[in-house]
Amino acid sequence: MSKPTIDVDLILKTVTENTERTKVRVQKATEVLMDSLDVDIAQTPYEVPYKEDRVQLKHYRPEHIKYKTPLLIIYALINRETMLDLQPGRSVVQSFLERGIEVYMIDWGYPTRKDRFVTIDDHVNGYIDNIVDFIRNKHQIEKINLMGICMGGAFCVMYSSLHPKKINALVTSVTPTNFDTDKGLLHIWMKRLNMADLADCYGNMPADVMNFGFLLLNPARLMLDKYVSFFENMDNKPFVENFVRMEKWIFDSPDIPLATFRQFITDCYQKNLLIKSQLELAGKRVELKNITMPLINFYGKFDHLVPPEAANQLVQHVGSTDTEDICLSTGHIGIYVSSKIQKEFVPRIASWLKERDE
Amino acid sequence: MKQSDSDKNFNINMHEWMQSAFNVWKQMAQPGDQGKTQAETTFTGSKKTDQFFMSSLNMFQLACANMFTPENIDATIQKSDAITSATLEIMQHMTEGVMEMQNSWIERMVRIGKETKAYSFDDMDKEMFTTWKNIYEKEIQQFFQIPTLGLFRFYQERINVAIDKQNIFSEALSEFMYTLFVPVEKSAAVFQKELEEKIARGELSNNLKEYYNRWIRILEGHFMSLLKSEEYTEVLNRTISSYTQFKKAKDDVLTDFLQHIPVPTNKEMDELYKEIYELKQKVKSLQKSVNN
Repeated sequence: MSKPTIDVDLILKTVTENTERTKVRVQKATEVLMDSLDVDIAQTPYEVPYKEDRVQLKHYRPEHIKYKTPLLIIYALINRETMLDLQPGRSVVQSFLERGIEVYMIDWGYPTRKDRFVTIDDHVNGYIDNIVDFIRNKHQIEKINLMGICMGGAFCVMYSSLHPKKINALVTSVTPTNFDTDKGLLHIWMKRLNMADLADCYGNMPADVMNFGFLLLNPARLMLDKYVSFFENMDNKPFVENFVRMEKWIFDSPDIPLATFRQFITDCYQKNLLIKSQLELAGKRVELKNITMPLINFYGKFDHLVPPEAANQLVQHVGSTDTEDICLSTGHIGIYVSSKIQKEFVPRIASWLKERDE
Repeated sequence: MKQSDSDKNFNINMHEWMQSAFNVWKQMAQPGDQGKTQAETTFTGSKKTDQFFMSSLNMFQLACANMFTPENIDATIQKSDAITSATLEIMQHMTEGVMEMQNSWIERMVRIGKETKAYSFDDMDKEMFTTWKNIYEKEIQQFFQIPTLGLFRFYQERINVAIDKQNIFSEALSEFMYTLFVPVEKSAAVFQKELEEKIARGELSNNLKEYYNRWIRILEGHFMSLLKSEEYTEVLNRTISSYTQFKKAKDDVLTDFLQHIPVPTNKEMDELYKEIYELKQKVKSLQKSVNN
């Protein structure tokens, strides 16, 4: 009699063991999920010294200020700036504070239908310029340091080009500036899909639609495997807490004002005007050669939203001679939440700023 | 001759039967005893409704009286034949459409057992969606495009457009959902083949997590191939566009209803927001020039 190719007994034994383990895990998970969980995000204390419409400025003060020039962080309009202060030990803001950098960060708030006419110009030459002036006046200084993330980085590039005298040093992180690439799915879809009309019929671009689009970038991992992983670890309290914090951050996303969204899609994703220095804000051309201040540009090697090809051309187009391009071995979010990258990212910026702290 | 007498008798009887039928309904609708309540004396429970019912009945009787007079009854019966024929024709078209659809489904079911090409999305079965799209465009959509008449024509027209756009969106959504399911189908086929090979080699692992990890990797690979394909972008674009049109059409209908209740519509609010936005721009600009 030939040997069977399948060891049925062993498979059945494994299934039985797995079922038993799952039963125990579910029992323990019930205790974990019913227990009080520490899932708060953005815990670092701050003050709000400036407000304009729905926009507010968060001010984080370090215990000992070691830098003359404060840093203003501008986050994207997609998702919220709380990602930079996700939890103790995984907080970009805290890391800056520990190094003695005074941090300001813009909270864009939650745009409603009444914000549908707000343009990129209103963000860059309106809110950002007013905030920069507020900080300059408060500190009695000519220039401040500026750091932009993703779409917020693109806004910083625009601002630095139009107001170079107000910026001491520019830090861009996962910032799309070259949109003429088919490397990221987002770039393909934004060119071919009529998203602006969809946004128009809602008033603004709804956050839920954007989030659904992001989930569709990798459905197998983001809609299935991620939750399988949660199920497998739901008896592990720290894992559950971290997971829930990320869930809270990911799905806490404001809508994007229609006029801003429409212009960003048309002028940036479809016409690629920013890198060509052909973008205009309220009739003023965004000339990249005007960016003469020191520039350090970070991007992720495995970033599927802003692939390296979309981020690594900026330094070649600016007027500054003091530039640095840094590619980190991580993805779009990993730069800010990965413990490993955290050890490299903030210290690098801090030392770079220190060398240019006038 | 005998046939002619029989027809004449039938026509006279038909006319008399119609008369008596109307009389029965009229008597039922007549006001009752004086001592009884309104609900007891009226036919429908409301005098106004009774009056409307009576006048409608009279109108209908007037129309029928002419149709069923002995001299017109032949023509009326012939016309009713024409209505029956038309109904049959419509039913025939609909049945043919359903049959066509069914055939497409049967053809597809037959193909289910055949091997699917891994990591390629150029063989997606669009036929069933094209079939339904054709049926809808040729046989159904015209009903929603019939010109509307009268005082409420614009309202009716907007409702028709909304129904039409909803149907088009539902069709696009079905195609989109099917497209998203294709990687699952293809992954199952690839995974099954791998399992068969492992079984043949006697290399089957007892670690279930290994199988899951392998399956999710295959699935991810298939999704990546799909998401980058032209076909997917086309389907996604169709779904988004049809949804946008449906939402706009639905909102137009809602706006019609909102106009009759004291609630501002989006259109009105947008006009107001625009004015506020422009005013704020002016104020901010003036404030800046004053501060400088």
